Amino acid sequence: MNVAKRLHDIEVFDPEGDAIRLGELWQDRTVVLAFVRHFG
Amino acid sequence: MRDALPEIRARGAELIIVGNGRPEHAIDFRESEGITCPLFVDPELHAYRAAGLRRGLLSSVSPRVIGRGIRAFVEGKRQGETQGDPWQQGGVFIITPGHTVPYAYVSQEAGDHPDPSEVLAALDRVRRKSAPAARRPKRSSP
Repeated sequence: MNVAKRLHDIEVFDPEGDAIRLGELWQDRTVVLAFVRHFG
Repeated sequence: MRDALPEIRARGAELIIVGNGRPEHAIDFRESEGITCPLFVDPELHAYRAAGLRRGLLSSVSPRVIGRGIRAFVEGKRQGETQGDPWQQGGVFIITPGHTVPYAYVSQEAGDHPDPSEVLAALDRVRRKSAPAARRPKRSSP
């Protein structure tokens, strides 16, 4: 299973605290998914 | 990578930032850095783990990293208070609607970032692949 499929169903939260499944983000377009080490 | 946002969008893609703090950290980050792309947090590091990203003391404090930190300090770059897990490393992935991953970069240590030009070149290849006919020069009729 590649990274995209492993990430697909994982939920993350937007700054307002609402959950979204990562896979929804690349349903309609290509994304550059950047994991940052930390904020600040 | 954030500096490349206009060029990423010009290629029909979007930059998505995932951080490992809490939602309120993302609000601070968005406001202080003027982030205009979608921003999410993964406080339990589920996505970081699924992406195979590195975590640990050794990857955060290698001699090279300390060297970079000293150089940055001398050059006047001071890191603000860390929010989130300080031992977690980052990475960058291009993911298409077909679940292909034409580009992946796993940071090996703090300060190890992908070259934005490589990311943009990979996006160009995705575009060429998805619309080959549009890019092919028209054959002139005899």
